[in-house]
Amino acid sequence: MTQIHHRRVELVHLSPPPFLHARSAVASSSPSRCLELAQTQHQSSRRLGGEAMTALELQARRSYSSRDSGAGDGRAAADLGRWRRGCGGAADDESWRQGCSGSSKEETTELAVVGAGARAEGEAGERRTPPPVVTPASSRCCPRLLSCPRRPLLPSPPPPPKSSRLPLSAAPTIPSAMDASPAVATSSCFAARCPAIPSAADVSPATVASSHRHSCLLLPLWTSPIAATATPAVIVASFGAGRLSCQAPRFPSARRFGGNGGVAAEQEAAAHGSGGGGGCGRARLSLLEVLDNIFSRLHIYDVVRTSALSRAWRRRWESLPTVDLSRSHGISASDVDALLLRRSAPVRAFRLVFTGHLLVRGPPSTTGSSTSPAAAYGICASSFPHPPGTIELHSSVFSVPRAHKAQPRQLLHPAGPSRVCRAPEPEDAAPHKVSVQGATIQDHGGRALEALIAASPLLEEVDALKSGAPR
Amino acid sequence: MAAPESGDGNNGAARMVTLISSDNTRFEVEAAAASLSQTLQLTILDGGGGGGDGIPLPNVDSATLSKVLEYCIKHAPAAANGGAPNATAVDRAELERFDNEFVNIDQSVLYSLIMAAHNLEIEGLQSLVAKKVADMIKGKSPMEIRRTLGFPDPTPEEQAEMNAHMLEYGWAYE
Repeated sequence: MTQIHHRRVELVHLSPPPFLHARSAVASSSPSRCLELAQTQHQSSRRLGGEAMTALELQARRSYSSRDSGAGDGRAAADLGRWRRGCGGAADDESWRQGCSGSSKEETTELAVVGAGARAEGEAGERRTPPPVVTPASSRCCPRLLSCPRRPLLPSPPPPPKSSRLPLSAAPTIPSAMDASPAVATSSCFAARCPAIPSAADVSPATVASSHRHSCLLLPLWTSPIAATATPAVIVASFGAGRLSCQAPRFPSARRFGGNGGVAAEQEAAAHGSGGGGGCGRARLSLLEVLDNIFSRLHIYDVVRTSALSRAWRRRWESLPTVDLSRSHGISASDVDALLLRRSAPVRAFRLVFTGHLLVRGPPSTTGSSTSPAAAYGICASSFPHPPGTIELHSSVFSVPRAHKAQPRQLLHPAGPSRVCRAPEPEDAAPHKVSVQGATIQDHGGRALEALIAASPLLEEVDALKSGAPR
Repeated sequence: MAAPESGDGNNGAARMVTLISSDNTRFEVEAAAASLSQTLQLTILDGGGGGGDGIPLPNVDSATLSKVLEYCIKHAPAAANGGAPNATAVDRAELERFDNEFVNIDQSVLYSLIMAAHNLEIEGLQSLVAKKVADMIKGKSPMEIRRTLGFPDPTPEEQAEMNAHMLEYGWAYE
């Protein structure tokens, strides 16, 4: 109940503004899941206040999908979505709900579209103070992206296990639909925030906006902060020759060590939902786990090629829980994008090897042993033996799930002298933050990031600030 | 390995447990070897599987189980001293050689081994077999993979689909 994660993602880059599009769609297929989430929210909100609740409502009600526009330009159009929340959560909540009250549950609401900014503004203008202009300059999108099948990046959550952990009476009133999130683009920044628990110090769009030149994307992101319903996703970034990588809980071990029945139950539910009977679902799940294990050992190109085997294999790789690119030497950034976009299931583990220097930082307040935050948490990962520039922090994704007691294995344990992770926090400690500096964000990194974040329930906070010149 | 109806063990220093395969064959192994399986470990720690009881494994047939136990018995000593920090290079080479031969088996056996390793959660064996299968796929064209994995020859339709896929995912074929 208490594992509410603050998620905030912020990306800053200098390259031409990525064209992204966000569309929010109501996860209409799983009302019960929504209900469960809402119930959990309710309990959480007692502790955390309305902000967390709103974020959770979002999470329960939305799925993200890329824009389904026919033209390539539209496809590539930047998704300049922004959800900005001030520190006064209650007032924001109110306007938020007002914003959503109009739409029906089945409705798909555009979050932020270039050219449709007026609508978003009209709907939510009251809660955004400075609405800068959405300025998508060019539509630079690789053809592979254009050919990607349009599908929601975040699949509808599976129906919850039968036994709800909260009494139904605890369910708060659920607004009839989700609202559109206003799009705001200032110049030259791409920032996405997942405001599960906005912390006043961090959520200050002004800071972000001021450091940019081209475009600003603040994507509304939400994630599942609830331990029992959230899957223990860990996104792993491998630094160097894997020395700093942490072992993500694999699918099977997640079941073993999750410490909560929720994970297994959810997977079961997922398997049942699509697979049929109980035994069948379990067998299918086993098969997926086995395949996942196998595919994790392959170059991603090999994995993709398996989809040509037969119809049954066509979409198989897309739904496996792990995206492991640590063996994928020479993969280009756009390929990473393309394959992330094709994913049809949440990413539970993501491994990518970076070149370039990364500075990963934890929040300054968490460990005591540090002299300066940078010294304590910062690492400068040395280049991986890829040729420099093969892949740079492109879909910069880090997830350092909070080290709560139930799932200590999810800690990020870098094996370096300087550490990224902190000692296990008490349950109600400050949310985790990871920031990456000096990384290059590729042109289409925003979209991939968006996809990945949407599919990564435990990602808490990612900052990626580019310091160098665009390539 | 197969010790049908071996009855109760437990004479000698090492504790023995009995595993019962899906076709009711009983296997008696040292607890240390069986404990490589995460699934069995807890049961064994709780004192299960000893005596005449045995631990039923309805998902694993006797042929596969004997294979699995072969692996477990070979790897149990190394696993017992904690990832074998003091293992000699010779020991490691020996294990490696054993592993290579171990997976050099018929595909149908390999696949049942995969599922058994997964169900029993034997980490080393899972990796070993997964690696073997990955090697079978690695660097091959879809057509070659189909042949390797024993797919029937593609129909013209399937062939066309494969060609279309190759066009669509050209970047994965470089």
